[in-house]
Amino acid sequence: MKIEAKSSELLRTLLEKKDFLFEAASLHQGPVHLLLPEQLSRNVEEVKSLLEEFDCINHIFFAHKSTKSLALLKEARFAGINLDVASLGELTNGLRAGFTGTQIECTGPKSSEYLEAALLHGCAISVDSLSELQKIVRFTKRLPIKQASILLRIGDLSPTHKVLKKRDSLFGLPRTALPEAYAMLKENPHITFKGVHFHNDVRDAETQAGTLLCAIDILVEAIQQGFEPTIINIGGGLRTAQFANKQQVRAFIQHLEEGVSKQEPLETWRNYSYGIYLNQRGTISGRKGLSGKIEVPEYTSFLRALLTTQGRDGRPLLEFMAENMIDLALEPGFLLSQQCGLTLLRVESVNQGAEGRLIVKVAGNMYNLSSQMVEQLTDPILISKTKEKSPCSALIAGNLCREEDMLSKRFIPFEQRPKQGDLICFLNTAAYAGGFEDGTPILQPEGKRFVVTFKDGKPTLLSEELYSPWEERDDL
Amino acid sequence: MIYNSPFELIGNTPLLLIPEEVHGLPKTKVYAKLEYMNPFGSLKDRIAQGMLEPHLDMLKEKGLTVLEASSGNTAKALCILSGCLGVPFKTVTNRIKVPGIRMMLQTLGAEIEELPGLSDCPDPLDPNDYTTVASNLAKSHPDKYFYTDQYFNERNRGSQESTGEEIAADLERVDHFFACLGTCGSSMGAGKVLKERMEDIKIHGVVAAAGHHLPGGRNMEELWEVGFFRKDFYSSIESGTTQEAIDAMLELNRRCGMLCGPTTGLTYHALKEALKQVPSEKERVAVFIACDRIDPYMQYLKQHRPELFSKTGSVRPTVDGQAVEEVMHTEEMTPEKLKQMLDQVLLIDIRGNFAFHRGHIPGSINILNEVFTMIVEEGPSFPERKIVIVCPNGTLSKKYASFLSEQGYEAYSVKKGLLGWRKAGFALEKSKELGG
Repeated sequence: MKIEAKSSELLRTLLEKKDFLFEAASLHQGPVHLLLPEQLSRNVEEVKSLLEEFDCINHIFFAHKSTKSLALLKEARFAGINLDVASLGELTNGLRAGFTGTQIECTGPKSSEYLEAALLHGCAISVDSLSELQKIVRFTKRLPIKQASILLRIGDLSPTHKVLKKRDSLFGLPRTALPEAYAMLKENPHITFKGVHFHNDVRDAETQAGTLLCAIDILVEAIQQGFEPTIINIGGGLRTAQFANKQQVRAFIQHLEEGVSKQEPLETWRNYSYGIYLNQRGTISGRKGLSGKIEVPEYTSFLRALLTTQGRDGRPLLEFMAENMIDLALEPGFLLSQQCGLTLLRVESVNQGAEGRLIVKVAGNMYNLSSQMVEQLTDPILISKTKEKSPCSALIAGNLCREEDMLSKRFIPFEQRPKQGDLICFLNTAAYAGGFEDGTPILQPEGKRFVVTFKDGKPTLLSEELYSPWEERDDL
Repeated sequence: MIYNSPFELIGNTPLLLIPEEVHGLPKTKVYAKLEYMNPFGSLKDRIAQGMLEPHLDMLKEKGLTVLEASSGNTAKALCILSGCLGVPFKTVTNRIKVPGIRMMLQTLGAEIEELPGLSDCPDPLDPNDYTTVASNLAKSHPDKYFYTDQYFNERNRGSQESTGEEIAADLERVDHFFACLGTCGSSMGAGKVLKERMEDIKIHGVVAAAGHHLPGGRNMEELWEVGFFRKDFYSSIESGTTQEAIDAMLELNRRCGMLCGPTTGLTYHALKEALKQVPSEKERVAVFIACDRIDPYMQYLKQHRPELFSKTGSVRPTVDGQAVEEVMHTEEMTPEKLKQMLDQVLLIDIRGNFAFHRGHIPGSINILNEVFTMIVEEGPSFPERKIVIVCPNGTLSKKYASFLSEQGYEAYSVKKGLLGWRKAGFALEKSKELGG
């Protein structure tokens, strides 16, 4: 069953250059990741044009943790947005990519070294705990700086319900700690309280609106106490589907549900059902794991629904925020790095497995596509020098000599039978779906990243370090 | 006609013929089984009756609270019948999206436990799923609750067999039967009887198309998670979109004397589409279930078909009654221009006082939006000088500027409002506490 991947115009252009792809794949023994930084600028434009719809001042922070690519960071800087970092390493990378300290927001738990660097560079610090705030107070007295800017990250903002299991965040202060934080801030007027920050993985706008409402309440209360915070940072977690056609995924899920329900063979390795199972009452459960990937509202409709949800005064939340000069900050990661690249894997062998199904073994493994060994649910594309009609379906297995190392547990339909020397190409291997998170288990070579730029439609390869968006686009 | 108990009011609903000129299917007799004519307004009355009836004495004796996971018609019917027995009713539900339904349940005296859940389709293994919460509540307090468990209670399906019996008694032959799939109780219950009585009858299940939502119904993706659903039972599963459902509902409302809701519309739509595909040479008979009334769905309709409720023109000129084009062409003043003219204009900020207090364009006065509307609609009440209106983003202020211009003032709206002013980087003034 087909599940085609979404592909941007740039990705499609690159895919047409077959010779170029073979040349790129020949430059490195392991997997070759080709990056299209320009796509990030296009993604930023899309997000910006959506935000234009909303009448409020907004700040976009690119979440570094969605990618390790230096080229993408430089591109984000070039696109004129800010950066969200979560470690000293990421902060260092951000500075290297050209961001100034004031364009960087530092989140996550902070080591002293990380905190010092953040303060010295004038980054806005998203305070994770009371002890961190105390540290900031201490450090600002010791370091050669006059002031610091902070946001308070709140960990239990979701509206609570007595019956439900609570879903507090690991990060941030509890609301009960706010009075103490305010007292500290009042004693230390050189620390500017810029706003509140939260992040949760809530996918429905209605629930998230409850959280946003809590954040607004906190801001209003802080203003009444004499502070002048202006920002609510709603974090990241903005999603966009990576499927060309959602119906194909739905059909696949229905195939799994029906197959599991009737206990019939599935179109997967060892009847793997992606978490779908027959529960003790005889009905199907566990669909959300898969359908969660498709039935999630696109970030566009999510943000629209979130910001137009009615607040306490019956008006849309956004209207209340705009009227009261509360600005919106976002930390998209995946959303901006999506479609920014592809991964080329050489086909090492193709053989019949014990079940009589075709197994394609490639020179790469799941660690090359994803940090968590998460299967890319979309079909990879076969790139071959020859052309023939020999339709088949096959599994894709990696080079780790481990049963779990499968790049696809689904039988992938191919129009042409893959053979040694062909390339298997996974699209959009960016961000958490596969942030080029290479490792070297059993000493297999790690992947290598190259930047692809187009000059008069002709693709060129470049090292990440040498890439400069300012140089590349001298037409600007 | 005399009835001795509300339980007797349930069932024996009419079958109504839909005129051929309306449905447009040649050689086809289409009947609606008017389940919304049940006393509490839906087919769920039968289910409530069926699930409670064997336990009436026990419930009264022990004074148990009837418990269900429902935010709709089942809760309503169970609540009323529980009331007649003198026992309380409690429902555990996802956030009720239609305020009218919550108000109805409150009026009837239901205790409502609303959870901020996501899917309307039950997942018994999610600890935060509303059916799980209800079931756990019942298990942990067996001396307090009687859990009716509509998704898995065989009496749900059983109670719907009477629907099939009634149809079979009224019609000699039925070729196609259409019912919307919710718990699947009605289609499986009534369908089972019809299958036994009618040779070659085709039972069609109806769901919303993937990604669409209809109150009380499932969509294409949720089917396998429903207790009673058996795919082989149905000759086909038909689907339709929200808009198609509303169109079909309006046809029934406006042409057929049926005060039915959108889910009935979906079923009727599916019937027409499915039978259009298979034209018949000989006469055929189709029946569909009209499951509930339109009354609770006004908000739903307002959300999905807002044009049904557009306002008609008003007699006296009002701020909101102005022609859109007129407002669009109102002259705007850029923040830069305003900054130069601050001392020459009457600057009115119509935002709330909290916002105004926080920060405003220097020299502006604060007249709250609603109050300002009343003032300007009453007639001229400002000195003859340039008036500039500022609102959060320059939308509302345009309406006022246009209205005041119509009255003869030289009035402007600040382009992009306070947002524009802030984006231009100009300073704001804070309200000072006035000392005595």
